[in-house]
Amino acid sequence: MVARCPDIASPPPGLLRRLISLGVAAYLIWQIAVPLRYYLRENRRDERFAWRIFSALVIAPYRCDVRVAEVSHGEQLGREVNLERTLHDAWIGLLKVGQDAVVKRFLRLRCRSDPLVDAVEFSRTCRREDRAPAPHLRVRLECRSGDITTHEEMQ
Amino acid sequence: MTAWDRYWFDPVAAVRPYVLERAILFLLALDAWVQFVPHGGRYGAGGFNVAHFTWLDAVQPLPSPALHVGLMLIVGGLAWVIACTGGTRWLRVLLLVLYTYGWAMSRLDAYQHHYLLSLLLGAFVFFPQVRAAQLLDAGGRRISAWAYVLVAANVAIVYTFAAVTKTEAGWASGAVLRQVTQGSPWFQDVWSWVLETGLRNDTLWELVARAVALMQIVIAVAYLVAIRSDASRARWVRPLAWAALVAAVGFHGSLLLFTIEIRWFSYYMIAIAAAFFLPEPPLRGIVGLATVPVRTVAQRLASSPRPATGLRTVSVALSASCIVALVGIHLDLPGAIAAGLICGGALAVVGLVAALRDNPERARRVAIAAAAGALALSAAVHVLPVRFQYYLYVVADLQRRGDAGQVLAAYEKAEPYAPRGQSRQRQIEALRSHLGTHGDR
Repeated sequence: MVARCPDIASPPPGLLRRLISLGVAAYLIWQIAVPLRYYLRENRRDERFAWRIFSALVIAPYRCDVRVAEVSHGEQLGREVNLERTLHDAWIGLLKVGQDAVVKRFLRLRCRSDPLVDAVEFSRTCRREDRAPAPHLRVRLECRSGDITTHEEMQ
Repeated sequence: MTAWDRYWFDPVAAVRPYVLERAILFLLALDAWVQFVPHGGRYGAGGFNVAHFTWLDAVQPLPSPALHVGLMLIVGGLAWVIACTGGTRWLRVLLLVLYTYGWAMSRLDAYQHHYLLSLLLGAFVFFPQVRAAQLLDAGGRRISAWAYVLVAANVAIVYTFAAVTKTEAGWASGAVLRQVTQGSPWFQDVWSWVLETGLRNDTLWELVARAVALMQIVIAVAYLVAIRSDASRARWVRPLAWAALVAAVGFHGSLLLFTIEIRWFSYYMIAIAAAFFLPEPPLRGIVGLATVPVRTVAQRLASSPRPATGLRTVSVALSASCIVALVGIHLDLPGAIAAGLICGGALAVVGLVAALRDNPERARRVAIAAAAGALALSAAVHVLPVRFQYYLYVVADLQRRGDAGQVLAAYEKAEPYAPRGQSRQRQIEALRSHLGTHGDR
């Protein structure tokens, strides 16, 4: 496959050429399918392989705040986790864009950190300057059962 | 051959894959050293991490600054050596694996072009191995290079999806562009000047937004078509390549002027566009100029009156390995000593194996390139504020999550590397005085 001198101009011989062609076709299908999954999804918060160039989450017409609260002993209002003291700033940034995997991993970490915690709740509230509707996301993890409920709406 | 076969396997100008590969690898080497390394302090901070792939989380340890920085130093070194010598297929595979792990280990690195670079490195594994001397001696040499054509198709896919996003309302109205360009005084001046022609502000934003989308479509089409530009008799192919080059340089070059955090994405995309769209003679001229040092070394090695014996190869490899290890030891960055020792040790082993196998020439070239790379790395971190930035980022994190003692320690690490006018001595004195009063260090 690595052409070398002096026969440097030659294409690969028949069978190898066919194998390469198959590989190329499969690779192209994969390259088109991966970003396409993002564009066909309703949840567009994972832009990693979408080839957007300009992120719709980072360059968004709204600003988002996030908070995480731990609920124990049937409390109605949870105890707020000090994210600034707990996480590196870069992770808070990823929570602000609502990356599901990061949110879920952090909630699980909080559940494990204290056996008295019954549930951990993440909320992401976004606001537009023109007061038009903006995304609001709430994710709650029940520590004992591991059940996750996600609620997303425009507010 | 079928049309499909002709598209992928017909010869292209040999200089194009060569320029593409070497330019990207040199950029990657510098990128790894001066862009990735300063951000290494955040890996593993707070004991939290999420990898890009779930299976990776299951098998990897918690990333640490030493792991990330050390890995990036090695990645830069490998990219440098392959850029200088062409390396071997296995070295390219190693670079692909290490680099990909470098970004995949954590979602802290979410730059899309880092993923694109992994795809390019994957294609480079299958690139034809051509030396600069072969390109320059033989004039317009042609080679069959399906992996190079595949890169073009891949980049066309990137631009196509990027153009698709430009149909969204947020982009089409110009709102995204407004945000990107806000805070750029020169752009505001140009904008005001254009508005004096009588165009409405909103109309102009929409116009520019659509123009960007059109540019991306032109670039995507050109990547698919211009692959044949050296052989094609169609008159419109060369102008299309020029248009795509101007569009790519204009679009990505302009992004460099705004305060958006995209690291070296623009440089990579301009380098790729140059390799595909520039006419062949200027590319050969660039190769001729840029490879003078490498060709001189190769020529000297070839014409040396003393043949490359195993003993000489071992001594060259051992000297190079000492230089590499010493540079690692003196970098004063987490993971640098381990990286230096690993690379130095690997070089020594390669030298010994090459001597035993009676294959000394390639080993000597690799050893010399590695030593030169280590010196280039050393120069880069001395000239650029790599270490200063690294420790300042650590300070920024510790100011929120650590205590005053840790902040002071990080400041004291940064201070010797402070560029002129950026000393943090005042903060250090204040912290020392605070800690002296409160005694909580």
